[in-house]
Amino acid sequence: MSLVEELKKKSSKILKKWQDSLIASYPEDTQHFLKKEKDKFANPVGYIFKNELERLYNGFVDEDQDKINSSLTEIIRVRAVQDFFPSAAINFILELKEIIKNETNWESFSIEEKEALDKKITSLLLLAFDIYEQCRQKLYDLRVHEVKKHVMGLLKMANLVYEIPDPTK
Amino acid sequence: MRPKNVPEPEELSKIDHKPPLFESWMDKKPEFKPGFYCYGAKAKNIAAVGMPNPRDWSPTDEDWKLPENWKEIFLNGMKERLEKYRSFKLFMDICVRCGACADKCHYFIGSGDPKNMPVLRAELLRSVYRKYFTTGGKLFGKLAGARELTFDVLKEIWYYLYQCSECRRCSLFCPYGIDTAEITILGRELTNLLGLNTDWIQASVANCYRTGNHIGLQPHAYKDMIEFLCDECEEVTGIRPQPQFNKKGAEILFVTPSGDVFADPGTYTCMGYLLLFHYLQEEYGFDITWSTYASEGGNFGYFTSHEMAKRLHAKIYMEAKRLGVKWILGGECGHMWRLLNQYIDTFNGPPDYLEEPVSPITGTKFEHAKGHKIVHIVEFTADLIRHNKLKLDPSRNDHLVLTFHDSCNPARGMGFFEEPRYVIKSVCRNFYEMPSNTIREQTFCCGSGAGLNAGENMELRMRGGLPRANAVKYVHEKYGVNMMACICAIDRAALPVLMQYWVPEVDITGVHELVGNALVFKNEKKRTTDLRGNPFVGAEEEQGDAV
Ligand code: SF4
Ligand code: SF4
Repeated sequence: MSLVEELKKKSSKILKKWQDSLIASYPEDTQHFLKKEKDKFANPVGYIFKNELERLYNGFVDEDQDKINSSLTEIIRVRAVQDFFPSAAINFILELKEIIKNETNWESFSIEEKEALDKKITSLLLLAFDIYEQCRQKLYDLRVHEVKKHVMGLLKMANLVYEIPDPTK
Repeated sequence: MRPKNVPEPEELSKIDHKPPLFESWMDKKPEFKPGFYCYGAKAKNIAAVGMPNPRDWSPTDEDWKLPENWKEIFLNGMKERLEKYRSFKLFMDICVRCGACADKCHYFIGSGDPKNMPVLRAELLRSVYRKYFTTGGKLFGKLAGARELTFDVLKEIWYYLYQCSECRRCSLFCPYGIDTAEITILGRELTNLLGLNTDWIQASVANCYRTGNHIGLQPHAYKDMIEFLCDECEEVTGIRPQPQFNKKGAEILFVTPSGDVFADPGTYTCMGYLLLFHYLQEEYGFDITWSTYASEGGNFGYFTSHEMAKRLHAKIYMEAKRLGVKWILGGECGHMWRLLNQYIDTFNGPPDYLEEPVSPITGTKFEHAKGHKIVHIVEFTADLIRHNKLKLDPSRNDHLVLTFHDSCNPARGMGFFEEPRYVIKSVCRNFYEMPSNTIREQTFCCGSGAGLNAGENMELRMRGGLPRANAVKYVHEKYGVNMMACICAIDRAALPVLMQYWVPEVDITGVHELVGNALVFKNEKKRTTDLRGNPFVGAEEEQGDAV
């Protein structure tokens, strides 16, 4: 069986391990909650992780870039505002490699297959890094934007700004 | 560059994260992470209101410049409050650590940090209580869940007290009715005995005390800003409101959070008030005045101490007395309204110099406001609509698909659920509720309440607001919701930012902005846009046809 075939066949087992490893990055008392509470409004983080990680895995195996982008964004948007160093926030990508190694007949695959997987995970990691960076950038933008909005109101009030009239209107 | 002593990624993701609940958490030293705390209060802002220990300080400083006997001050303060507030003593004693509240706090849900579980947040203070005020704690120390008040413990208490928005959601689920918000409020009072507030709160307090509003707008500037909003109203509707200022003998005094006057999108809500008052003035001779002195409805004092809250509230009532009005109408605010309702009679004494509020237009007596003499504008408007006193065209809000966020204070604190929904449904035709475990008394906080609406703690605000945003995202995807209404000024400031991070397709409005859109004046010009200048449904085509 090829590596890709095995990734598909064993998807539920691999995915379960991957979800567990993502949740293991939280304190023990929190892990219980993240796994146990099924209501998606009472436990948005657990819900997002469960569903989006599944979409991410399927996207990864099927090489569906749109799926990869959107699911990775959903997960990282959450991780980017939690108590993680950047490396810890996206480390779950690297863990996928370990899980695949342990859960498949790793030794039976050709070097080419293994290298291809390696490459795919590396590019996933790089993408995760970019998305993390975008989320952080967004936070800074929001901070600046918020201050500006307050100040603009004051400046307008004090007649201290001249707005360029729009001749096209 | 990687910070020094940082372990490898695999280790990192699992780092420092295995404290079993209620055991070793006590030994962990607090760690201040940027994004999760606000800057320390500046000396001048503490001194401005005569609060203790004015000096510049930062939470990350090694030395917080505390008075030498800080421990004594803290413990004496605790003793005094345990004697004064029976609820505080009860809440310290009766928690059985059942954990029912543990996963109900939006900060825990969003962060996964166990110390954001309400039970542990309270336990930080409770452990000190046990050590110094219970026999078991004195004798058995740690075994009895007691610990000494050290500087590290103080730091930790501070860090987590200022990560609670006093929203009370947890209390809803506690079988004993323990209200962790009350514990936070009193805990913050204790930190204020040592001069340990955040500058976002303290500067607002100092400004409110000096000029009457939290950004320090002086009376003439406050008036100018409202005049500016009248110009904007005229541009959109052809009608220029004629607000009255500081008018002695007016029937009603109007007080709103100052955010409505200077910060978007609150300014559009303010235009809604101005248009409504003008309409009522023209149609029914309504007599209401703004005050350039009582120019802040929000009470930032409440985030420091009861005493300071009382001092700031007194200003509003003194102004009502000075002007000789009959009663007070409050703008769309959350904590202002709950505070005035629940505290003013005992804080400052019943304002007997005012009258029981009666709507001069419908004759409705607002009996529940008999004691404190203040009515929320949404109750007032709901009553007008109920009596058919407003001509409304809800199709003017057809470009909006709405949902409604119950703000913690009016909703959970006061049971104020129906009036805002009634007004919204009267002025809009597309309205969808969020899921039932995220609204009404179970509503999720915006994540920025109780003085946490600063810029430097953005990460805290975003993760605290995640449960709210998650429910908004759901109605956005399911029903195409593109606007969320609320009746609180902190929400109008905080939620737009929250939406931009989690659900950028949804914007925020006050309820009276929607009323302003729908209100039909006799002599208005042909209106083609809402108060923000966005075209009404169909208006663009009409314009196109005309060309
Ligand atoms: S009052 Fe609100 S913010 Fe504070 S602990 Fe309870 S749920 Fe959390
Ligand atoms: S629900 Fe009440 S009794 Fe139970 S842990 Fe929370 S505060 Fe304590």
